[in-house]
Amino acid sequence: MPAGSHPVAAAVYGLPTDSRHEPEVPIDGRTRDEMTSRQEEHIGGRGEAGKPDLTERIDLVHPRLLSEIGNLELIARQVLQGFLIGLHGSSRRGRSASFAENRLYNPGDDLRFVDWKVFGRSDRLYVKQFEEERNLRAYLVLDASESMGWRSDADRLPTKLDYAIMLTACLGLLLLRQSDAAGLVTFDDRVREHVAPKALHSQGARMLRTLESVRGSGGSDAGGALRDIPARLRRRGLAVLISDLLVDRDATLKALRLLRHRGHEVLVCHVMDPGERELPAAGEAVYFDPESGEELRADSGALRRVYHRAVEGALAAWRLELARMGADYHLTPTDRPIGLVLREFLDRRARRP
Amino acid sequence: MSFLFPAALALAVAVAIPLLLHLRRTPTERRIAFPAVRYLRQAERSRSRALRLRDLLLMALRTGAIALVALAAAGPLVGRGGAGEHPPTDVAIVLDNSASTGRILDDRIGFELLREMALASIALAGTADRFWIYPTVGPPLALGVPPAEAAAGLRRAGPTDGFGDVSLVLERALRSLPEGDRKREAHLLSDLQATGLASLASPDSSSTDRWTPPASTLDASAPGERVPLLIPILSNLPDRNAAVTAARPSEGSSVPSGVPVFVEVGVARFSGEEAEAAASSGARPTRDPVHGDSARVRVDLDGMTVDAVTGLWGENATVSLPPLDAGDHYVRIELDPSGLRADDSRHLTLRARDAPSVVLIGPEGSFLSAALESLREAGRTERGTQIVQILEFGPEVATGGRPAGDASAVIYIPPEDPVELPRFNQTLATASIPWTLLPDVARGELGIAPTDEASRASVSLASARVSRRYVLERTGPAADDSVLIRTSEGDAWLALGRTSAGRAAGSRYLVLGSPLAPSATTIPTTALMVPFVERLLRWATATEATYGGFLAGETYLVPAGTDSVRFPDGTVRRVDSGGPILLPQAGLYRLYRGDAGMPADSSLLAANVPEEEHDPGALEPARLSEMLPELEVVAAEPGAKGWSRRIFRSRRGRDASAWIVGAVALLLLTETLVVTPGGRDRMTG
Repeated sequence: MPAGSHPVAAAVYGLPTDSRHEPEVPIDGRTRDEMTSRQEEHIGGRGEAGKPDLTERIDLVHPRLLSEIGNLELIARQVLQGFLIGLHGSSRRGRSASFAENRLYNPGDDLRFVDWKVFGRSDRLYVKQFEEERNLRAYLVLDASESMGWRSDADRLPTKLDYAIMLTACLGLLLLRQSDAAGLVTFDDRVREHVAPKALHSQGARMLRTLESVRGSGGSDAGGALRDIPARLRRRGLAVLISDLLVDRDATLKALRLLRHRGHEVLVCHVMDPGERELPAAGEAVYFDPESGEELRADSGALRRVYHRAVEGALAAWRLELARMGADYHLTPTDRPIGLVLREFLDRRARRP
Repeated sequence: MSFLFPAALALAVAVAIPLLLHLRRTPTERRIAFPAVRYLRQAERSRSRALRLRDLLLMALRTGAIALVALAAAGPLVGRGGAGEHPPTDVAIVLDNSASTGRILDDRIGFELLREMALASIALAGTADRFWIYPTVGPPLALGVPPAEAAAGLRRAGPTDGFGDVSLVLERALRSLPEGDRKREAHLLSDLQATGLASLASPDSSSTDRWTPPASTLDASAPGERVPLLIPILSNLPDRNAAVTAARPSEGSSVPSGVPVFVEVGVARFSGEEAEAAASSGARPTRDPVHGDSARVRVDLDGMTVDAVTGLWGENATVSLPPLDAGDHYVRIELDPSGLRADDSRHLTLRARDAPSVVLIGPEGSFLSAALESLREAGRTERGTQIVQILEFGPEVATGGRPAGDASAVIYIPPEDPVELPRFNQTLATASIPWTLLPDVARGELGIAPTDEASRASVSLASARVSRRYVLERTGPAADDSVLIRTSEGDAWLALGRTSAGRAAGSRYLVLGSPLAPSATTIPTTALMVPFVERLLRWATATEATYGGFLAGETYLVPAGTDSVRFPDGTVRRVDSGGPILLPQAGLYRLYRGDAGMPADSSLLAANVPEEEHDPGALEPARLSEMLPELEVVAAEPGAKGWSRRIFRSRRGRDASAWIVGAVALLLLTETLVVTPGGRDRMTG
């Protein structure tokens, strides 16, 4: 990789960035400085002395830039690495009955895990760290339907499918790194690929290869894909549905309920393009669903507010239904850095009883 | 509303543009992939109704804006301009001052309201306007004069109790308007009484009686436009009326003194609806014969109520007057007040005179002498200073027997014996009487027929018969000669005249065609004899009485020597001796000779409301419009304000273009607010 290359590539390969590019590449309308400072704020700022080198935090790079790299394995591993670097200083190591060690408290750490006895002795804040349970069997269920191949802004956003693939890859590697057994199901109007969950070292490569071959096409039968999973997860496990949820709602909820009924944990990552949540001012046109072919003539300008209300209603309905069945719902806009999503994923996992 | 540039209204066709765009809007073919169509559809479904309303509102706003732009381009003139804000105009005003306009409306008589409107017409006139003002009764008040003079003329006008032939005056007024480039208008200020417009209502259009408008009613200054005829609507005028329609003294206007006088009185009631129906059918209005309903009739004699009777509508009643002293008397027959006050009273004058002394020259013991004796015994002769000589010709009467020197009249009765006839004729010739009697060649019994003058006498001669007569033949021109009675064959039987020559020039004479003997006529042997003789005496002594036969609104030639006249309203005006005066009001007129302050030498004249004015029924403006297709009949709302709004139709109002442009801007601003996202959101929720 030559010097002065793209800043993202430089970040991925650990190369010095080209100063010519840095201020000139806006991401989602913001300069990189603006974005990183915001992301830093989001993940919990540190003092000047302990400030990490953000150029190495590939997990916080805008997803659009990640998708330009093209090598999924590279992306996933680097993102995970960056994520783990960030995670190293925090308490996101999970928790279990077995105590592992104490470490210095960092702002943002959960106060529940502060070791007050040590504080009493040393007048310093330490947090307790535990060994995570490692026997989880997880299925990552990826929606690869036609609708997932859409994005509202080709210049600024990855497609929902690209984003979902990167997220799935990272989640898979994260699970494997925790010695969990991770499997993969991709589906459109039927199940396209199936990788049985294993905790082998080679499982990551298998999953990445499978994900690299995914192409968005066809309809979206999430219910059908999810219905197979209870039979494959012989004991308590985790099912992660990564989809834009433009699916048969009732059938999907029914399948998720079945999973929950069998005692499996369920996490739904609702991948959503920002242009789906806030209707772009495209004016009057014939809007058509590339997946179902459904058409509607409408003036987006006139419908913007009421559309927003309709979408929020739909999201609230998903959130409510999933909460009722004890499933996690995670709205994942495609302009959100994957590292943040992974962190939230771990947070949710950590909060589970 | 009028327009400066009416052609610009054609721009209003452009309102079709947004309509067509709305109705034939070509849907956009732009296609956008959007997976979340399900949310879009959900939103669209909830907002589709609001969107349709918004589209309609936008279309209405745009259409309205274009229409208003066209309107503004046309230069609309709203309202009516002020005084003089119109092209020079010739105005013919027909001011109805007939009796029917004397009806009371809101404590004011109708004429005052009409004159107020006429003054309003003048108030709105410009200095270049000219006026022709014709009252329906009386001479024109203005002929082509500027407004100031016209106003002065109007102020001189007053109401009358005469009949106004509105159609005739309107025709005259329209003809007076000169043709040319100037605008023309006709203002018919009338209560539209149907009888006054009767000649317009003739159903037969080919009738020669039908009113024909002047050929110049088409507006020369504006081809195709008719001269506007503006009429007011006086809908609240009373449309029912009661009137004394007749008052006829039984003895005529010249009555004997000292005896009671009977007057036949007619009362009638009129309803407006009936009059209008009658006018529409071209028939004369009929009286409203309401039997069982009565009217109280009072009789005043020289200012004193002397009798009161109850009369039935549509029928005659008889009232009595007490014996009159010799001289002129004024009688007023009066009803309770009704819609039109003027005809609630009827006026007449009577001249009472003393019965004359009679000198009979003729045979003793004749039927005539017996009749005269009866009259004398009853006090109906020998009372006054006048002397009437009766020559009942016979052998005992000398040829050329001259009347007594102080006799004011001589009655000549022909002899029974035709042999005496030459002497009789010689006597007539000697007295310069231009009549001679010829032996009757025809035989047989004949009836006699009084002439109109004679028929007013109380004596009914219908049953009288004549079996022998002489033929009365005129021998020369005779002043004041008249035939009072003729035979049923039409020959003269009783001639009345005044001698023009000789010693007794100026004295009256009566020449009878038959001797008053049973061999010649049935009169002497019946009850007719005494009344007939008394009648002869009255004819012989009658003087010209003014009687009550004059109509208000007519012109009267005052007798020679008259210097002044006291009108019914009490005013005294000097008049030219023998000249014409208009009798504007119903009532009593006193004619003075000599010093106006000395009424001793006066005579009386009574004028009454013409019968056409009794019925107040009015035509509807729409009906008038049908009757006058040659004119553009425009009805104005009641009152001076409503009138002012309509007159001078060529007036220009204020240019409203600026206001309309402002309205367009407002519409476009509203349209912008609706179209912009904020407004769109407000519209669509």
